[in-house]
Formats: sequence, structure tokens, C-alpha cells
Amino acid sequence: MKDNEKIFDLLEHADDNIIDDIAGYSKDSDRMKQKVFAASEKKFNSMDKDFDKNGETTVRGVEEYNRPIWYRTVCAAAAFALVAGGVGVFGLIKKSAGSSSSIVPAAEVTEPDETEDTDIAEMTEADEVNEQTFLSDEEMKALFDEYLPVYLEAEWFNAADRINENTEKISFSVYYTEKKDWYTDDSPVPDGMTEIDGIVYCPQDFYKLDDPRFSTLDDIRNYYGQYLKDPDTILGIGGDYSQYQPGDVVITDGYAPEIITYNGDIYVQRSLKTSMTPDDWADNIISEKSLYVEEDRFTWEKIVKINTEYWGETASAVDMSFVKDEAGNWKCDCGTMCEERYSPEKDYNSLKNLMIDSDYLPQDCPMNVNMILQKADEYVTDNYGADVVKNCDGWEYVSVLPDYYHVTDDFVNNGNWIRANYNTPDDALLGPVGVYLDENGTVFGLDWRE
Amino acid sequence: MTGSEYGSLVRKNPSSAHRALFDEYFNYVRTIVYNHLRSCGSVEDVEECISDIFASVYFGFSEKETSGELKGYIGTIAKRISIDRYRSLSVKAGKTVSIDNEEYLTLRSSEDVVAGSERSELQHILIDAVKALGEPDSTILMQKYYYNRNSKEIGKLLDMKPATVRMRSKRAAEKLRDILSKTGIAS
Repeated sequence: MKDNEKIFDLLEHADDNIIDDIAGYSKDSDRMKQKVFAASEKKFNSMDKDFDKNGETTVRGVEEYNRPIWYRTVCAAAAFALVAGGVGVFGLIKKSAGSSSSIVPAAEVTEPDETEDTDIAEMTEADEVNEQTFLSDEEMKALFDEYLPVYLEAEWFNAADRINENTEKISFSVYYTEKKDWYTDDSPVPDGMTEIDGIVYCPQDFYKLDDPRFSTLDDIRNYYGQYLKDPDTILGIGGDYSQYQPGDVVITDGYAPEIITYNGDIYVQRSLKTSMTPDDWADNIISEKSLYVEEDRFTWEKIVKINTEYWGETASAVDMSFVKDEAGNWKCDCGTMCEERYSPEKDYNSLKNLMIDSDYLPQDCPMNVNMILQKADEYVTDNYGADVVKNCDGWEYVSVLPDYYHVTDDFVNNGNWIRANYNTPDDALLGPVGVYLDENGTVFGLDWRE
Repeated sequence: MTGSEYGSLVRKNPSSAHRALFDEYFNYVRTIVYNHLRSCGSVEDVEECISDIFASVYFGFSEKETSGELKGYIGTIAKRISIDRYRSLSVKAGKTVSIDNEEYLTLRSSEDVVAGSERSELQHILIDAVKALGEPDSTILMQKYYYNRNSKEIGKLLDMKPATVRMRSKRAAEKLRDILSKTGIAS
């Protein structure tokens, strides 16, 4: 036996061409792979943070923060990797003993105003109005619990549980990016990619969908449309590509489709081979509460504590924002997920904003950043065009206003504002578009453009 | 996977992109790392080195510079980090890393080049002999003698009973010795 081991020592420090052969015999457990992947993500995140600290982040004045807009996606993705990879699939996470669930009262806006010298009749009337117009915490929680499985399924619709990667796949070149965002010079795009009118198109594989519930894109729209305000956007629904030949470039006006039909079948782009279920958010609840409650909208956030081998204890949050449609039905219009290292000192219940925003907003400043940015987008679309909205460069909390162009002086002047930044083709000449909004989403100011 | 494909995934969802890259190249990177640390590192050292490599790849990737096939790029990083780790582990273990150790030299003497090419040839002969055994015997022997796994662990990986693994590995080892003796590597 010893002789055999010695013979195999020959393979140490092998040449590159031998490595390929040896790799064919490498077998590892999924658990080990997952553990190493988790460690690599953790290291990457700390490298990224160090890089930001040392070179990328700019802080301009007191209480001003600069966060890239894509943070939400990254954050959600990180949480996904952590939670789905750790708990859902491979069971790396050791659940802590003892779970506590508590429903925190809705944000202050839902509570009746305290009034003095008001007669009982008026109070009763006011209470009735409140009961009629605002959902109770129990009702909001029930909606969240009902919609969460659908939202999670829609977010990872392409996850490979529904795709057989060994079956037929087709490829189309679809929108990738604008070339100017990618290259500053006239370098040609890489092999395999195509540039048409300054837009770069990249080949993407689409796999046949294996889900008996859906035969057409409308089946998908109709099902998810019962729960989601805009299923096309959340799911990335494209159209019928039967008119194209596989390999063709498909011009899609700045939109990268993830679900298409081709010759009567549904095809989807591959996503992460994993799953995420409401069970992942079922235990060790440390906070569950409503935020930004209005008559026709609210956000519900659930934070759970998860004990991971590599991250230690983390607080993971999932939030869903709901709006009432014209028919009076509640629909989810967006959702996010994020995670951070669990801090026993932090009172997650008392956060007045979403956990994802808590590092960027003061503790006692309830600002619905999603809603405010939506208003910023609407304003910029109306005044600068839809193309500029695509180039939102980020947002920051602002407590001190610079000299700015006054759009209106009718705004909430309380030192809690958001500045959203948009790039335009005229930036070199005029500078970017900076939009100032108050906590209600009112656009009250703009940066001067030279 | 090409750099362009990976870049496209990163733009959509960085974490999913990392996962896709990891899934595709884990075996390759793991093989390079193990190949270097086999004699001086623990399982934990190997795992840590692999995670360092992937973190470096995610962090250092530039679509502009690496739009083509990523394997060469990842292989270079994996090799560099593995060699660094080999050196530091060897120093920690009090083991001297020979300055003429085949691949840690940038300039080799003609004698080293000959020794290196002979070693490379022997490696080819050995791996060809292992391949000639056929499956599952090739994998059993590689797992047992190269990856130093016991029959129980191999059985788990290959969905076989440990007793079957033991029996097959004994016969396969004899067969391998027979093949190699014809080439002069084993007696």
C-alpha cells in the first residue's frame, strides 16, 4: 500500500495538462463545497468592504451617505446565497434554540392622533374611519404570509428546480449593456458579443421550462398577476421569439428578457440551482412589523436570526411592499432581502426604517426609500425622459441642503431628505441630475446644472 | 464559461454569478490546490486556500481584461495562491522548500529541465495507467492513494459499500502495478 501511495506522489505539482485529468477524479460532498463557497463569499465581501473604505466611498458632509443603487440587488443576492445555500439546501445552519415571535405595532402613522377635549362621538367616528381605511397588523401579517411563497417563487422562477439542464436549450443574443457604460474607448466588444448602435448584445442560453402549471406566458402573467403588481418586471417576461433563429440578436430596447416562448414552448434563462422557501424564514423571528403604512400601501418586514457556521449569528430580513390596485386588491409591488451580522445590542424591533436602509438613514427617521426613489424616477421620466431614469447612479440621505434650484417650497422641511442622482449624456457639460425629495416623495429641489 | 458570460451574470446578480463560477470551476481549483498542498496542508488548509482563490477571482475580475475563456485566468490565480500557501505552510512546518523544487524556479538549469520533463512524462504514464483501469476502479484508486480517503469515505462518495471499495481497490492496485511494471515505474 505504501508503494502505491508513493507512486501517486508523482502527481504532486503536476503540469497543467495533467491537472485536467486529475480533476476528473475529484469528488467532494455538496456540504464541503457549500462550506467553501460560503467562506469565499465572506472573504469577498470583506475585501469589497475594505476596498470601499479605502478608495471608493465618498462622504460629503455630516450625515450624508452614498450608496450605490444596486446595493439592493447585491444585498438580496448575498442573503439568498447565505440563507438558501445554508439553510434551504444544505442544512449548514444550526438553528438556535428558542424562538420568539412578536408583532410590533404598526408605524405611528396608523395610530389615531391623540386629541384632547374631543367628545366620545367624534372619537368613535374617527376610530371607525381608521378601522375602515387602514389594515390591522394581523391583516397585514396575513397578507405577507400568504404572498411570501409566491414572491419567493417569482424572484427565483428560473431556479433550476424547474429546468432540466440536460434537455434542449436555445441561445439568443439579448441586451447586455450600453457600450459607453462598458468601454471608454473604441475597443471592439469581446468575441461572441455583438454591438449594434452602441448597444452590446450577449448570447444567453434559454432552457425549456419544466413546470406543468404554465403553457404560455399569459399563464405565468395571470397566475403571478394575482399577487404581484408587475409580474413582467419581477419575472423578466419577454415575448415570443419564434420569428428568430437560435443565435440571432434580438433587439429589446434596453431590456434583458429571462422568460420567452419559442415555437410554442416556454424557455427560461438558468439561475442559481437552489431553492428558497418560506420555511427558511419561519423560525427564530426577532422582529416582524409593518412600516410606512398608508391607506393604499404598506411594507411588512420580517427579521429572523440565523446561526451559520461561517458567518456566526446573522439577522436576515425579508420585506415586501404592498399596494392596493384599482379594484381594491392588494398586490406586492417589490420586495428585498438582506442580512447583517446579528448584534444583540441592536433593537431590531425599534428600527423606524427597513433593515436594509438602517445603515444609511438615522435610527429615528422613517423614510420609505423605495417609494421616494419611485417618485424620483417618475419626476425624472417626465422631465428628462425614460432613458435618463435607466442611469440612476444612487441615492444619499441629506440633512443639510446646498444651494439648489427650488422646484417648490411646499415640502416637509425637517432635515430628512433624499438626494437621487441620475447620469445624462450631457454630464460632461452640465453635470448629473440631482433630485431632492422629502419623506413624502415630493420633489422640491434640483442641483444646479452649469 | 467566458469572462463575458460571467460579466453578464455579475451585472444581473453578483452572488448568483459567483455561485455559477464556483460550481463550474470548483473541481478544477480544488485539484490545483490539493495538488500543491497534498503533502503539507490539512483539509482545512485546502478549503481555506480554495475560498481565498475564489474570493480573489470574484474581486479581481475585470471584464475588459478577461473576456474569453476563464479557465486559464482562474488556473493562474489558483496556482499562484497555492504556491504561496505551500511555501508558508512548509515554513511553518519547518520543512525546507528547495529552491530547485521544480516549479518554484523561474530559471531552471538544463538538468532541472530534464528532470522536470521526465517527471512530466511519468505523470502522463501514471495517469494513463489509472485511466486504463476503467471506472469505478480509477476513481477508487485516485481517491484512496492520491486523495488519501478511506474505504468508508470513498463508499459514501461513490454510493458503494466500504467492503466493496476495499475489495475493488485491492484488485485495482494489483492491476495498476502490473500495468506500471511494464513501463518500469513499479516493480
